[in-house]
Amino acid sequence: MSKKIRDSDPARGPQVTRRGLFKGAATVAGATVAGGLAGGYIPNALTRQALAQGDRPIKIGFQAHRTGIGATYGRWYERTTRAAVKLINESGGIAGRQIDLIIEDDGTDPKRGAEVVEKFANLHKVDVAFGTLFSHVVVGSAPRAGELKLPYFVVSEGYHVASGKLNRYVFQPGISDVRSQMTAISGWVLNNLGKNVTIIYPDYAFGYDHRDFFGAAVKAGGGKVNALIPIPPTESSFTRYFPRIPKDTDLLYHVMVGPGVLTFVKELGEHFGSNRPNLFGFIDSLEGADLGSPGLEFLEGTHFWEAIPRYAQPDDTRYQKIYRKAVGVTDDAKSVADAKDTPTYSHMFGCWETLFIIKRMMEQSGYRESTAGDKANFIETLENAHWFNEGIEHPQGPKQFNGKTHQSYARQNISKVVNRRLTRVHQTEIADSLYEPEADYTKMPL
Amino acid sequence: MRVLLVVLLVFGSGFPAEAHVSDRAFVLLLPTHLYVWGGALAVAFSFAVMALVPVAPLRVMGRVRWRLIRLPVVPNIAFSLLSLGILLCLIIAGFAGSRDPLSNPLPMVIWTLWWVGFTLAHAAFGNLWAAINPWRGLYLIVIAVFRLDRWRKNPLFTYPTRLGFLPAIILFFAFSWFELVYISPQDPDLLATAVIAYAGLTLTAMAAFGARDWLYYGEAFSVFFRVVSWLSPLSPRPRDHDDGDDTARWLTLAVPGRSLLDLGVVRLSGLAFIVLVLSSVSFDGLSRTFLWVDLAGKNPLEFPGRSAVVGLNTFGLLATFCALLTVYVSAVLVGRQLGGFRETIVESLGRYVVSIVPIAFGYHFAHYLPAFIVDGQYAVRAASDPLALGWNLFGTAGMHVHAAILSNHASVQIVYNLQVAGIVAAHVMAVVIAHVLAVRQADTPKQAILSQIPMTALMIGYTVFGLWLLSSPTVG
Repeated sequence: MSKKIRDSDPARGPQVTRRGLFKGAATVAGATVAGGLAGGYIPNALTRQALAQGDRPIKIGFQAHRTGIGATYGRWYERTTRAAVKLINESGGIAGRQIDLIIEDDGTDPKRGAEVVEKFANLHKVDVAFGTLFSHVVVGSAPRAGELKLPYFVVSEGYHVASGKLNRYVFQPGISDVRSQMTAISGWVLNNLGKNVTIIYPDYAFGYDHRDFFGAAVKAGGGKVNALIPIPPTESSFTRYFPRIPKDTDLLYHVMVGPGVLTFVKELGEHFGSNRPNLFGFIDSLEGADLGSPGLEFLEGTHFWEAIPRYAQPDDTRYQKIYRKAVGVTDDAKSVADAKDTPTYSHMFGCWETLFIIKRMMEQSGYRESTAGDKANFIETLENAHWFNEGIEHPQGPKQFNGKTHQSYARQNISKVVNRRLTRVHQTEIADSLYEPEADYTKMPL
Repeated sequence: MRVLLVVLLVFGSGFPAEAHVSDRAFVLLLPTHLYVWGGALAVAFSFAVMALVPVAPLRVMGRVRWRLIRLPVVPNIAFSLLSLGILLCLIIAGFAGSRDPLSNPLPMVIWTLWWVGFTLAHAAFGNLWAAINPWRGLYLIVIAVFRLDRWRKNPLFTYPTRLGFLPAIILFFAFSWFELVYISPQDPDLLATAVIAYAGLTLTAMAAFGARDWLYYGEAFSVFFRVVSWLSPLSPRPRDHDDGDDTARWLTLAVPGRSLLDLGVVRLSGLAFIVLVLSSVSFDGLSRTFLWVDLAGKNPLEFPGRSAVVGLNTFGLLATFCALLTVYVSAVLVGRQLGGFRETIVESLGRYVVSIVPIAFGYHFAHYLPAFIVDGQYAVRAASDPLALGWNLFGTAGMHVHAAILSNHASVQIVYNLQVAGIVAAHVMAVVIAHVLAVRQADTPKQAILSQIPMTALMIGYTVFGLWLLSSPTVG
């Protein structure tokens, strides 16, 4: 299908909306309006026309985990989404059209997720849908989006999009995938935390991914996997597994998840005392949890992957500061409205960034209605995008987008727990996170 | 690093389904085994105390009832019409308001304020539902509009009282299934439709069998709230009808649960209803445990959602009811033998089942407390903008919901302690009630004590079970 761009030259778009965005950000976040955006937000001439026309709102369906096991994440995804929609609407909307956000609960259930996609397409007639996090819900919902030809943006960090298992209508441009995250950090982890590695992981597919990939990375990096310790998913006490950790282990790579994770850390501390190996884990284990919680003292001095630092860092960009204020998170990683509420900071930014990508792509493609032609233009425009600059729209950092895999790649962070706070000690380059693409969605029909 | 780039792996799982720290993560840090055994000991100790103290003071305490105030004469129909109006508004909000169940007042009011909060209110203040249920108002409006006054005086059918509370049992089971097993009970559209369907069914049955009989035998929530209100220290006297009689009465105060001692023998269908109430809430707790999910053949760390366990949980809901019924009947049968009771088996079964009522309520309190704390805030927030039109009627539209109460160590500990206290107190109350009832039947105090050994064992076992449910890792 040929691409029809209504705008003659997107690069010559007016600056008013760019300023409007900063003005909106200033309103929301109290930021200083100074200079232009470093980000690549380039509105097209359609913006002014549409503003004058007062078109219908752009309907965005937000498939939220409001109930079920994803509710904790869903709460912060909702807060972040509302903050982004507020900023976009206050800054002139999408091509001058306000966003009408329609939230449907999928109960963190794949079957219900597919039903929600149907409701978005057939009942609410949304222009795009977004926001799904949990992998099994993504995998259950995305095929229906493809059948109904509904552009569907997931914010999951799963590898399912880039793997090619989904379809032409499914994208993950606002957050990197777990494979790229592990690819990016493994070199630094091995070189700085030790090469005699024990991997302790939950005994199912999620744990196997970490075991297999990080195990392969250890070998490739000249290290040695001393032991692999699988933990049954139903386990709630872990003491009896720790004697299996070899004494010459330099690095304990842990990826425990679920309600047992605090007990795991506490018992690990009781086992090792002060004489412990280096520890590295993914912050996914402790998203939404206060690092000052009892039992987590043992994490002092250990390292975690973070997508974006939960605690304010001295070298934070002004975009990160604006974003942090807009979503209502303090420098100490707490909700502004509730000092006990810890955000799911390494994931929720994906909602923010995804919404700005939707906005930008709609404006660049000249999207107007939910017609086959406009949707095709929108999808092809996104597939032709390669890069999203760091900016208010992308506070986590720049994104390299692969139009064939529908996946973005980003810088990753390794942080160390110092005084019960996470302090960034290393940031990777985007190039560190790249792997050989395995999919080409552009070959699928629209 | 380039070496890593050529490693080709398929990441099948991606984001893990259980990648968050729930309130149970903090509960698991507590010495839960001490709570469990401490609770069991407390219940056992209460039985020992009952066995040792003289019964006379208990009888006196049980008889005392103080008159507080004379209740003003307000026609119940006014309350009923008011609640009907509120229900209509909620149904409209269900269809027209936000699609987000946490922002729509209908699911928040039905599942949080009404099902959880209103139930708690019944244990404190008595049978409010009898006075304010919307069905009576709806019925009278339909009667008036369609000039069917003859149906009011002479219903089409006489309710077959031999069925007892069977319709209420079936409807309560259906309600429990919808709440606990169906995949999206919170969906505003679906819930609004379900409420309309239930209202239609209730109206039809009231027209067919008469308002009084249907609200007494068939309307599941009239039966449920009546049962819960037996726990209340407050009750209107001398008349205590459940049909919303308009006669002015005194509000009286007595020992909580006092009304349970006046019930005599509950009919078998009433027994089944009470057991169903306890088994439903127990199964809700059980079905979320890692143990149950594992038994179901699912990995609890990647729980696939309700849709994957509809059949199994339907079976579980029924099986829990059957199991609890069996255990209760067994305890009573053995107790009769030990106590040498002369009354019939049916009488014994119907007499002691009232001791399950405080346990059912204790579970209701403990099980729903965490959700009530968070969703209650969503309900307040949703009330300000019921139709998602950007209103802020009560100034709560932008209110921050303090959900971190359930992901913070200190507050989780407080909530857990409240839950444990609720469960243990309920079982102690059950022991006391069963003992007082047994003393009335037994010829000697020794016989009374002997007869209660199996029931006390059941109470202790159920305390352990209940506290284990609160202390186990769960999905969500």
